[in-house]
Amino acid sequence: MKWRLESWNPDYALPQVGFAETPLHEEVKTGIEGSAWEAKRPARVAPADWPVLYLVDGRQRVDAVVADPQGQRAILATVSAGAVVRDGEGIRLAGKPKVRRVLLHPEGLQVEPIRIGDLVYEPEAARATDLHKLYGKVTEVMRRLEAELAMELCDEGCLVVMDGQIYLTGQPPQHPLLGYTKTLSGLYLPPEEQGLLYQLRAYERTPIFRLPGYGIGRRVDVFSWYVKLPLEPRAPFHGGAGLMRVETTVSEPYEARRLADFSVSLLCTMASSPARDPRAPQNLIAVGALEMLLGRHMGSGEVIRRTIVRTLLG
Amino acid sequence: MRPIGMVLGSREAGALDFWVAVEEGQWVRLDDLVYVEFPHPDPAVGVVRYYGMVDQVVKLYEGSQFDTDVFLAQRELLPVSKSYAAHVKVTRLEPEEYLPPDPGSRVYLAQAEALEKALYYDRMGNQKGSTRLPVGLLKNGEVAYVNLEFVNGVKGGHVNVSGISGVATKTSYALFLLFSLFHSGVLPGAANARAVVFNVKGEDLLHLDRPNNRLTPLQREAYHRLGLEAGPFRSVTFRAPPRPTPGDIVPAVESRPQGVQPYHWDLVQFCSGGLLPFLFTDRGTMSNLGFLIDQVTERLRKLAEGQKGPHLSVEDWTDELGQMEAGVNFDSLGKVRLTSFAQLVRYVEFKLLGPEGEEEGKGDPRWVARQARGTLEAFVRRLRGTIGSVAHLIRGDRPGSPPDPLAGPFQMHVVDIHQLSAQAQMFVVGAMLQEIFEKKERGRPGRVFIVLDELNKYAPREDESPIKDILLDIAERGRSLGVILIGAQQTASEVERRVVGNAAIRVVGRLDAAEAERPEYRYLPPSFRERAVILPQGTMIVQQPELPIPLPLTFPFPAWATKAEEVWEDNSDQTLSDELGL
Repeated sequence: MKWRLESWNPDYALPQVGFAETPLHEEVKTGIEGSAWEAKRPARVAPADWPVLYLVDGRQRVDAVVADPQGQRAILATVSAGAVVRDGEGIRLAGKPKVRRVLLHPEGLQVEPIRIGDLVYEPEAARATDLHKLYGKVTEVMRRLEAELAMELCDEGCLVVMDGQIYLTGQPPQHPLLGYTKTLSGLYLPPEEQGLLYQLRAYERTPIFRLPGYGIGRRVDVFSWYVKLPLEPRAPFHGGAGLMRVETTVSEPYEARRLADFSVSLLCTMASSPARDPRAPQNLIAVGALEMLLGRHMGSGEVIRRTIVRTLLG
Repeated sequence: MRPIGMVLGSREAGALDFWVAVEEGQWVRLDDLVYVEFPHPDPAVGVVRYYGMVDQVVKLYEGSQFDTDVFLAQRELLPVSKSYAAHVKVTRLEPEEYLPPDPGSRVYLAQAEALEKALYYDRMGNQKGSTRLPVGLLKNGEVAYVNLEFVNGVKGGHVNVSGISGVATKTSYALFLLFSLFHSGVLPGAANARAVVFNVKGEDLLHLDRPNNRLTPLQREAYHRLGLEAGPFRSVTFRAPPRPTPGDIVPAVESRPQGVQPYHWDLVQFCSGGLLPFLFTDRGTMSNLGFLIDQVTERLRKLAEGQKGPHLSVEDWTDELGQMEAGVNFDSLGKVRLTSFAQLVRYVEFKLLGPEGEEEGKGDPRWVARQARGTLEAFVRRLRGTIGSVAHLIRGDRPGSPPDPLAGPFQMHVVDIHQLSAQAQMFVVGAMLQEIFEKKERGRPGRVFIVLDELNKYAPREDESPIKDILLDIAERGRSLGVILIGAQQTASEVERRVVGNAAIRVVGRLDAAEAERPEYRYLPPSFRERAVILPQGTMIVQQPELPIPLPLTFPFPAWATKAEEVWEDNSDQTLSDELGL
């Protein structure tokens, strides 16, 4: 048996976690780009010819876990969402990132906002039976914030790309929106189609397929495809390393195909390398920088934690 | 006042130095002067103001860990945030409350009055008025001043200039300093002040009294900003050694047919002035030799008593063979008349070693002073060796006319020594410095500025020589006597420490990289030492006692001709008719 490495640093989540097919695969519609299920290598689009681009990402941080005298737990968390814009002027932060501070508590409690220095943590009820689930809800708050921002940015002549699955709080936008998942948590394709993933080469993608929303708890159906990102050096890594699943909410297949073709140039050019990012190549270069900038806007966790201690000590 | 940024909080801000984050669209350069204002915690004190000079400027991509990020940023794949920061070294605090400025305190560019505060210009003055001596222009176009009282000997004296040859413009800067001293109106009694400049390279300094035809209007403007009138030195006399040819005494100058006076000493001046030691530059090699030199010098002094010169008459030369070989004449009383330096050397040889041709002759005991014959012979050998170098400078055929900067109406005395051998140069410099110093000791009024390049030759760190003794005297006592040395050298590390150490004003031009690392330049902050290696021509770094930081400055192109082809000829009708007597 010939073992090969996973490209991500094992300290992080793993890029490919699902071993079993998602029961959904029956509903997955292939054959949209013709009957042949084979790798596609679209023409490259030079960065100079890209449309105006927004890359949206969020960050979350649990600042403290608190408990009331009855032992009811709640979480003080900071979430943020921001975007990087790439237009004719260069690449930079698109305005001030959104930052929210929430006091996440189980439903059924009457909770007042907590003021920590200049910061106010607004209460937000979440359906959670234990602290682990409550922790998970922080991500949801961040997703909402990201979705809000993405919707604001969606406009004529530009492309909004979200880090993660497309999460919508309202109606799908009128303008193209892409989402990409770095970790392949589920196998949506039947086994014979799934095999193609391990034969893809850099700058290639699978044909698009239709992914219904209802089966995976989403309001919207999406077109989806896999892209193989370049990974240098290639030798130590296994064939599935460097895969990314991309999806879009557009309703027309031809539009989805256009976006799928363009996404190959975009994502492969923006792919990072294991030398600079432990989650390479999927954690895009600009998004890595955006995460750092978001961290700055969220404030130092250590300082906030100390302020919380000082405030609660009264 | 232009705000340029704020004290940043990502690095420590101290009471003596702090970092400034420069705002987008603003800029600040090395050497720029800035100030920061912030409220004192005690409201009664009010606002604290720190003045300072920028000594480091850095830009970088914040948070960027990889060198190659720059390529990604340029390809617009990586958003970056550019940091532009400047490090400020505090020069002054008002009030003197050593508080670190708060991060976020506004920082302004210091101009006009704030600049004067930052550089202590407001303190340059005394009861009689301002003592600001303009010494160049700062990078921002403002005038750089030094406190005259540290130049002319009141609080301190002497200037020392270091820099490599050909690039550092040491002599040009020394001359510019003199020009400013004489023509800025800051030096009290400038009319009585005198300067001696030794011309050691080509005939560069023999045209100082003539305007430079290459001076552009822009350079004139620079003089104007300094409060000076662009033009030549107004009161200069030029002296040059005679041509070493028999016959009339003609100055050995090529590029200037008129206006140069020859100089030489006659034998009586040589003996009564006690100038013999300046022919020996290696006195330190034999201790007995030093003793003998002093002995012979005294004897010659006695010999010359009461004699008018130019020749020297001696009565006790009984060696006829020697006389014949030397070709001496006799005066009406039958005394031997020495009319050349070579004859004097012959006579001294007779006094020390006895008659010519005698293997074991006996010298005159009063001259020999119990010295071993080996020492006597060594002395004579050395003395003979100097004849070729100085015979045309020390003569007995014409009354002497040595250069005397303290006599006559001229402010500047340019003494040409560039054609002389090293030994003759030492002699001329030594003899002149001794005479100036002695006259000043006797209370001659007025200040004397001495411009002397190649100090490492005249006052080396290792060897002993009579000139070094005089220079040390000037360095240590000259300031109180009004003798100010404007010395220059390529390498301060090779000059006697006390000569350099006594200079209140130190100037550095372009330095050799190895030299810049030596302890002699430790008074410069590291950023200045690094920069000294790349200073362009015409840029100097000036350190003065009252300022905690050196001033980098430029000085204007000479307004006086520095070579024959730069001389501006006045061909106007009026001048021509004046010259032709029409």
